[in-house]
Amino acid sequence: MSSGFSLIEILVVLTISFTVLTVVITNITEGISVSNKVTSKQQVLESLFFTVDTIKSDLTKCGMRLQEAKKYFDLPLFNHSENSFKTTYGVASEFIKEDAFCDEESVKTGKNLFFKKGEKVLIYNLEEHKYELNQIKNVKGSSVILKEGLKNDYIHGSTAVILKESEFKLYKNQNILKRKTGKGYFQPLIEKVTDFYITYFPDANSVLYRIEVNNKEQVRGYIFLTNMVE
Amino acid sequence: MKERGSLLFSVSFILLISFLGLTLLTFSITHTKIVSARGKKNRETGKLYNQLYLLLHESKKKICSSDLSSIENPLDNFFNNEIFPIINNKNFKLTRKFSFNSIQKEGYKVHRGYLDISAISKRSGYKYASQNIFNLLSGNIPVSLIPLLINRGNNEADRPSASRTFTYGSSLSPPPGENKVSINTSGYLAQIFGIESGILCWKNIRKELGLLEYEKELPEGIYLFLKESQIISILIQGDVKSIHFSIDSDKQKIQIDSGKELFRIEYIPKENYFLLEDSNYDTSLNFNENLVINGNVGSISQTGEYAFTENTSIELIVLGSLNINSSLLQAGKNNTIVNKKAPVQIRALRSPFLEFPRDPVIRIRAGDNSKIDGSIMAQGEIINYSKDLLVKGTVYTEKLSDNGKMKISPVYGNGSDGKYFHMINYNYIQDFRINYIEEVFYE
Repeated sequence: MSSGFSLIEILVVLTISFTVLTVVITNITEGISVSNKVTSKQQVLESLFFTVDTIKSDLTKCGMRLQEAKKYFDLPLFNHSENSFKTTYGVASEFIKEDAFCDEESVKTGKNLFFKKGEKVLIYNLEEHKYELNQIKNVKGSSVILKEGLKNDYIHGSTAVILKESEFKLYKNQNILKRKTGKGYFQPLIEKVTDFYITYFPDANSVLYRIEVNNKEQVRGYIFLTNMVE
Repeated sequence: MKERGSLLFSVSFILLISFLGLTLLTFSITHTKIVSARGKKNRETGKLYNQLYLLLHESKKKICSSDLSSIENPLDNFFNNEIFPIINNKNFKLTRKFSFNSIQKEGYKVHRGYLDISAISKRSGYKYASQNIFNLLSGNIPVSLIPLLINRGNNEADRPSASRTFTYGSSLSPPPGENKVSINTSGYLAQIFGIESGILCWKNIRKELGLLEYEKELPEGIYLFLKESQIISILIQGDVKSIHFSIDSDKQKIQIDSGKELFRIEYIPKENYFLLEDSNYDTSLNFNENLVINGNVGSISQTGEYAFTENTSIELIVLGSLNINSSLLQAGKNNTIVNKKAPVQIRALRSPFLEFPRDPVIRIRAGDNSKIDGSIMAQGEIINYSKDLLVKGTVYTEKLSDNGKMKISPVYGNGSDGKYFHMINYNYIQDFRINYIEEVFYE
């Protein structure tokens, strides 16, 4: 008898334990719920900040390394509709070192890590008002092998620029803002987007953007397109 | 046993609570750290970017406002680290480096300059880089390579002023120094008429036209200068009431009304098709697009939507005054090359055939929102009456009276006329562009 618990003792302990556990579990559940809400909000904000940083970064790059070329050639550096926009910029440029002639499929440039297979390349000569878009098939030393033969002659000193495109688009049915770079697919950037708005002011070389998530959190800003300045 | 049971329960409970607490705390700390790091990076890179941008503008201002013509060999004596020193303070290090590619042209040089600026934050190690491109033209610079040139003569107070519109909007910044502009109308006309001796006189003009050679002015009318199945230029003798430019697909049309006669010209630029109505000229001729009016022109305007085709490149020389009474627009720039060359060069020049020629005046009454796709040059005065006028070309004048708002969007010529119209021994910064500004993530 002395080595065990009485029925009353067990009942009392169980009652107290259940009461304490009920209170504790309720509090923990509530705590977790609050924590989840806070975490979720933090994640939304974090995701929103990341999206805004990405948008700002891509907009700032718009027209980079294409300032000269865009004056003479009609390059669509910034296109936009109400819920999407696309920027084009150069990530690297090199001079053409040896004369290259029409129909030839390679040009000699300085070595550059950005000159690699599959990249889109703009080749131009301002003096002679010639330009063309091509793609890099391969790179062997300082020879850049092109996918298509040249359409014009390019004397040495002409310029080759590696182009990058970045595109943002709001998928309204899914409420997802997606981003695409280069030849890739649209990848989700942020979910639960209830509004995404872009306006371009060409005279001021600037863009007004607004992004809203969950009908609550909203970030808007005005970005000066530094690399588009004449 | 009682004590062991209670202990187990208590320890389990404490562990559970502690684990949950720690998880929440860790997440919050990590999140706070991320937010803090992001904010710190933004602040640091923001400061660095501002430093670089400020230095870029200072450098641009110094380059564009300095009297480069007074500096001997500016490539070495101006574009160096003495004039553009390295800035090294406790927070940042900013360096500027110049490099040039030089191309020799006829009578002048084009030095394509590259200004590389790098900015490093000493505290954080962040780095920004910028490259800027400009052209330094030196020598006898063709006036068609300068967006706005007002030649006020050679006196100290009336020096020519080359525009620096790319730096300070439409305001002018007259460059100091002894500068002169050379205008050789006789030589230019002799070349346009194909006179090999280069001596412009009626005898030589008559010779080129296959007429009886003697020194007497031609009677009023239209004259075509032909050379090797090419019409190298057309001369209209006498005042002209109106010139209408229009297009029909790829055909360029020019209708010239002298008040007494009407000349209708139709041609395809750079192709073997030319038609002068009511004449017997072969239609398979190529027209070189040089049109000279020895007199005043009452009105220049366009008929229809466009004045010029995509391939038009007309040289219109008026030896007198002229009025531009409408916009002059070039048809659909073909989405491949823009600003290739202005489709028309309208020059109002003093007549070399007169002993005391009047200063020609170009009056522009093209409407409220008008545009001229072309360059204009007056060896006298340009008076603009249009409320908003955009000139997509270059402007040369000796006096500019702007009664509206005239803007110039420079479209340069190819400089081939520089032999006859140029600044003498001058250094000029043509365009200054930011090629890129970017954060550098690698070395």
